[in-house]
Amino acid sequence: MSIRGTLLFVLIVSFSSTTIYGNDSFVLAGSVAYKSGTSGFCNGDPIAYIIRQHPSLLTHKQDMVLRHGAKKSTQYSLQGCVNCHAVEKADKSGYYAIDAKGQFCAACHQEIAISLDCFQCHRTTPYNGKSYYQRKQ
Amino acid sequence: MSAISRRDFLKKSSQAISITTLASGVSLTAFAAKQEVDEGVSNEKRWGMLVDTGKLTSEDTEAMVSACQKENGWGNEVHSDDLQKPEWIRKVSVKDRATQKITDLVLMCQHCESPPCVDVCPTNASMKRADGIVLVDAHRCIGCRYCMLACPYDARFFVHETLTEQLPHRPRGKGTVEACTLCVHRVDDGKQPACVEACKSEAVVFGDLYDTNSQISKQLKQYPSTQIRADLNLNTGVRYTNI
Repeated sequence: MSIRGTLLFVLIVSFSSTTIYGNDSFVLAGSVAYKSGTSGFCNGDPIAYIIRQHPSLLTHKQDMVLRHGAKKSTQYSLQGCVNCHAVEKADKSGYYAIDAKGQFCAACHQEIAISLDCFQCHRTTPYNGKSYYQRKQ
Repeated sequence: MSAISRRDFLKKSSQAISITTLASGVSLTAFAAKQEVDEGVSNEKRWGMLVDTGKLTSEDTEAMVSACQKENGWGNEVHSDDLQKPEWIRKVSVKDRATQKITDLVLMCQHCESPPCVDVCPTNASMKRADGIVLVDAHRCIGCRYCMLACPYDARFFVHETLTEQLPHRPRGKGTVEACTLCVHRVDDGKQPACVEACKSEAVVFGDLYDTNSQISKQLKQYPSTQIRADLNLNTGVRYTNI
């Protein structure tokens, strides 16, 4: 293979790989996610997969759990996202709402101008009380 | 090594490749484990409740209402007026016009077998799960409130105000309709609804209506019970005795 061919191949592969889009230094990762040390992955899935597929992952999960009665789990659960990616306030008095301006969801959603509807109903902060579902986790 | 002809080389290598492909295919399918897919609940069970109004005391009804509020996070709608406030479970006094007898009972979504709310919902948001629990899928609910009109028990409620601090297992939001879920998050975990547990006298029984050995089936078989508005033929999952 020629040098030009190799160089072209390397450039194409690197631009089509996910490492560039997986750079999450501009995203507020969240208090728990920041400490978790699993940069680049979310519960075993690569971040780029989650970014791309989270609407359908969440939709499938909501369909199976709500309409069909599948077992609840933290995998692909919206509350699972919130528990990890919410940012705790500096004075430890609580958490910022995850869909607030400048928080986790806004990093992408503000830029692409797709409005978030989830948190009209879903909780925006982790729950520290003795909620039944929390006890299960 | 003797020189091998091109024809022989091609023959032998294609044989080798096809054998390895087939062999690997066979071994891969033999060892491939069937992925566990959670299909959800089935109609092998049907959840129901039996309320004995003779045993139900006013402390019981208050306890049931506040347990439901605590479990599901409603009751704190400060911007809604009295007609708008949700009451997933409420105390109802029924008076027999002929005998003037007053009966106090608790009324919640009756989880009918043929729910009118499901029939009228334009988006299939109002749905009956395979095990009989009637739910509102808020992802599909458009807030038209047709189900509120259709429900004979006035058991569905529209959320009029912006809500915050929802409980994580029970999302609820403005613009959708909500109702008693028979504490489906507890039932799916083998527990009883919060109101049933809060009732200190054994006035309320919860269980599987299809299981002939369950306490509720035995009590339904032994004591006469009725549905509220039995004339509508809805085959409710919630039955009452002594009314």
